[in-house]
Amino acid sequence: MNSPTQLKAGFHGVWPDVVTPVKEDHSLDLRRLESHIRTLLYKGASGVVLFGECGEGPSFSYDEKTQALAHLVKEGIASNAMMLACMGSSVPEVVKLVHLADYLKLNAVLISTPFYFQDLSDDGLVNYFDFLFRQIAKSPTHCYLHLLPGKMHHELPDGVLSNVVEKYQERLYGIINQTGSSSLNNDLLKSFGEKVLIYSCAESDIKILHSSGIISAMANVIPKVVQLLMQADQGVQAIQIPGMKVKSSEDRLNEFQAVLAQHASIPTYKYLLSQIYKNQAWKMARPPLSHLDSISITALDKAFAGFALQANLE
Amino acid sequence: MDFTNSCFIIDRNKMHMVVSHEELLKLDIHTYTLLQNFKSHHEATVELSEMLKYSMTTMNKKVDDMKKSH
Repeated sequence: MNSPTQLKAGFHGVWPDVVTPVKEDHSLDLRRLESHIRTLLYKGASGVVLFGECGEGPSFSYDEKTQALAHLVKEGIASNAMMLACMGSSVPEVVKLVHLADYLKLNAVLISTPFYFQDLSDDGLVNYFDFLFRQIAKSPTHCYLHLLPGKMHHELPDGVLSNVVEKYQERLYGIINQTGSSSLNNDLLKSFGEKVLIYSCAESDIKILHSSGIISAMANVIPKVVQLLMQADQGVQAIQIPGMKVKSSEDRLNEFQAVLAQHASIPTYKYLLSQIYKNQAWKMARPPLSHLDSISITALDKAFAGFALQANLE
Repeated sequence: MDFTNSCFIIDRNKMHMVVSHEELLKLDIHTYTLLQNFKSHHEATVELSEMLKYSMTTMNKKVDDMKKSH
């Protein structure tokens, strides 16, 4: 378990890994993005992560990310309620995103390994982080190391991870595990738990990590259920929801996971938001993703009807 | 974040409507479904008209499909 007295103060509460709405021409839908974030904050989210894994970060350019963030700040979304996932294939691109976060005074940046088309050596990866951290040494924005699934990014070998944490411990606020591997949490806690905060993006890991916060994709759709799980872990009396079919948040989460299973995650979240917000425009996905096929939609409709979402309470 | 001056689209009695924060607080939580929050009444109204447009398009498509199948 992390010991916050020895570590930097990390983020708290539920931070949805926000899906990014697009219009029919595949351009960013800023109005819908702003409204989705407002709605999540109203429902109790502490903040949001933009252009992360669920937000199709690699599909949007630096200019588009700048446009979106500038719009959100201008329209009154608090800067400290936003984190920016800085995914990129080159150091200069990631540095530009970190500087953008500095300029807008965002809460934090998430730094991940690069996309690349060849196997990378440990030395190459260490050099990548050295090159990157040298250029963002003066950045005041909180920085988290973002571990993503191997299918998206190069996985960080243990030796490289140790090297990076050891060298940049002063700069790093924590490690965020979004690899999908719950077993990795224990290894991270054992190896780095006394140096940096460890977070997971898997809602079911809340009980394992007892961390102060979570970045959650499911919170796009059921923000309050994820909040209740966090509160239950922190010893706060879980709120009893009248009329809720299953009162345990954990059971509710498992039920929702069953709805999501078997379908492509991002198009599924977008489809579910189109149902919750009663607007088919939410189904649009930016290529190379596509919206769900009719067979998946039929199956999801059936499963989601059984879930019986209570939009006010979940 | 301060929502005092913002507006909401809600689903109430099978109707979608725009209400202010003040109006929302007066409603019994079990009598409506909160859909979305918007910065202003104008933004909420624009979304509401889009929602109606999309639902009409969907309905027209269903009617056309039914006509074709007969």
